[in-house]
Amino acid sequence: MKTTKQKKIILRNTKKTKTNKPTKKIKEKNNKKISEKPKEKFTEKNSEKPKKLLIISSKQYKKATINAMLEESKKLFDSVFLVPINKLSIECEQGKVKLCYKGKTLEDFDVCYPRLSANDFLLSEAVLKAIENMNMYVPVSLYSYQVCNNKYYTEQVLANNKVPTVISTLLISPNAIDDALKETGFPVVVKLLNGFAGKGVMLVENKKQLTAILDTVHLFEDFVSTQKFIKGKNSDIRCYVIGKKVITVKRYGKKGEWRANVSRGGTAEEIESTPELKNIALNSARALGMDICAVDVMETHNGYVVIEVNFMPGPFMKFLDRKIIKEWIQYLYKRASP
Amino acid sequence: MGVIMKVLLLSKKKTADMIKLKKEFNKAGFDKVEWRSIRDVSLISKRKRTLIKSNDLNIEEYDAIYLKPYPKLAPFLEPFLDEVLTKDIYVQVMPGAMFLNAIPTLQIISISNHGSPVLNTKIAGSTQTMLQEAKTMKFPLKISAYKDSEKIHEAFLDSEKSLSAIAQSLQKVDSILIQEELNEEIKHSLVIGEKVFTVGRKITEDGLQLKNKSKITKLTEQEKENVIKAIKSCNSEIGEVTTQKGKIAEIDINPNLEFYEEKTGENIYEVICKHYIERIEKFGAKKDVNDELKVITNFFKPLVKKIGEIKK
Repeated sequence: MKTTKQKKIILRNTKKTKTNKPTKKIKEKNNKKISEKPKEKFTEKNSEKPKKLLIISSKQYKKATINAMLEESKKLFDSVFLVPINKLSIECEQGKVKLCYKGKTLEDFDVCYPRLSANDFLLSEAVLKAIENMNMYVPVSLYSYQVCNNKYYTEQVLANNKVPTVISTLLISPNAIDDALKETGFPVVVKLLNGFAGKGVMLVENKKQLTAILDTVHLFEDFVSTQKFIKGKNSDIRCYVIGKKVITVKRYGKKGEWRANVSRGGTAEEIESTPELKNIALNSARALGMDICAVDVMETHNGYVVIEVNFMPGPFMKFLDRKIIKEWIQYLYKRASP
Repeated sequence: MGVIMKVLLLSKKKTADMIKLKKEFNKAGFDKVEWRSIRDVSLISKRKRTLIKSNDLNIEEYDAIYLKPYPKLAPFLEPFLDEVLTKDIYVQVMPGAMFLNAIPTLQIISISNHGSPVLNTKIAGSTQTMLQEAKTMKFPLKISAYKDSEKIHEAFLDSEKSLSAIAQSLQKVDSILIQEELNEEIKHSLVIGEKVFTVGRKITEDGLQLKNKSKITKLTEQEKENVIKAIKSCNSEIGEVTTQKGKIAEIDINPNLEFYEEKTGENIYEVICKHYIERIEKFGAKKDVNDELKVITNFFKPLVKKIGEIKK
């Protein structure tokens, strides 16, 4: 039984070894651990080089998700480090960029999975830039983080890559609203650029309402993205992209709620994926340069359209248990193997 | 000139530098020089394509855009630049430049990643980490603390005592930039393509001179090469590079052109204009001489038609 102190996640080295290269004894122990798990689908842990995973979490991470990720990672990886982003530092000296924790360089990792929220963008972008030059596999990139944190930019990149999207606009000031409205009409969905989990999204019926919203947003020097309103069925489809695999989940909104976000009290269930959905999800992920993400899709009378792509999707543990987490970790482990 | 060149100037307001720039482009014989407020521009992403709109603006007719790259407008200007790039229009800033300029921590890593010498720098995510990291650095230190995208504090520290005091006063920060100061003259260089104009601030008995007291100075060939490389690593061809003893401290891709005109006595706007002509000629203007003939023919078409009608 772990003490509360131990449970505090600051940095975890699962094997409690200080050296980067584990001793023969530890290696044997690790191999033994894996062989003790016959039910585990993934049993590739027989390679010579120990596999090391680095997970960088956001400042305010969901403990349940991170704990589940750590437990699943430990089953496959020889060593797992978890570092909340605010405990990291970056060093730029003599033309070299190093990612450090407590003064020590974080190196020799095979895989790094940054689970970073839009709230920590100042440090997250710096960290993602710093790991670009490190020799390890990262399933996401600085570009994907920057684009996914801007709802309009995501739609633009997807549309330019022939992925079906909803007509969207981006404005700096209310001056440009007429051009935008010509394309979207009313009712129109107004989104704050960096909103998340259904927050900062409004359904606007007429120009009077819209002008009031735009004036307020402009006052706070924020940007507004408008989107053509598509009458849905109080549900949408989340496609989890994990490498070339797509797991499809249908989300139902709370009664009387036009947004289908599970975080707003909806429900979710896994459904069978269609080739069309799979194609849309994989093309979206490819356009944004991500191997792990979630693509939110809506069914319209013209077919499917992508409404959002999530850089750090939640794993819906309430409805899917650890299915998504297990898939993430197995994929990361696969990518760690030469 | 042989080709028809059209340039669009984009800024929030028609400021003095934009007026001077417009005048220079006109003087250089550009066929169309138009200023528009970036506030009137909207981006519209339709199924499988994107439009840039501003009333009757047809952006595709322009060969080049001079854009005032305001860091605060980065969330709008990044997708805008991405789209402009697909339309073969030259802009002095390229996609990625806005995010790099808006986030100083990201900028310094990018410059360093491209091999340009930077001041010894550490980036921390909390005051606790800052204290720990600063232990391995040499005083004096410059501390810049950021919350959201705003710089909330900047201080020059000469001892551990002052560092501890700052750490106590800083509440809830998103990131902290710690830089080793060199107690040397600070040089500010305006880079326009391959041209560099430098002014310097000396350290006097009263300390470092204010920026408005800067005097014209020169960089070594190596330093010159480094500042040009640094600007390029920020995805821009125009910008201001601040250096100390040849090491890069900061880059601003939205430089104060009037400041450099005043301090160097050079016509900075003419240099920008020449840079644009060079770039348009290198990549090819959208309209060639044949198009010029077409324009003339089209211009006289209604007149010819009318003469024909009168003759009938």
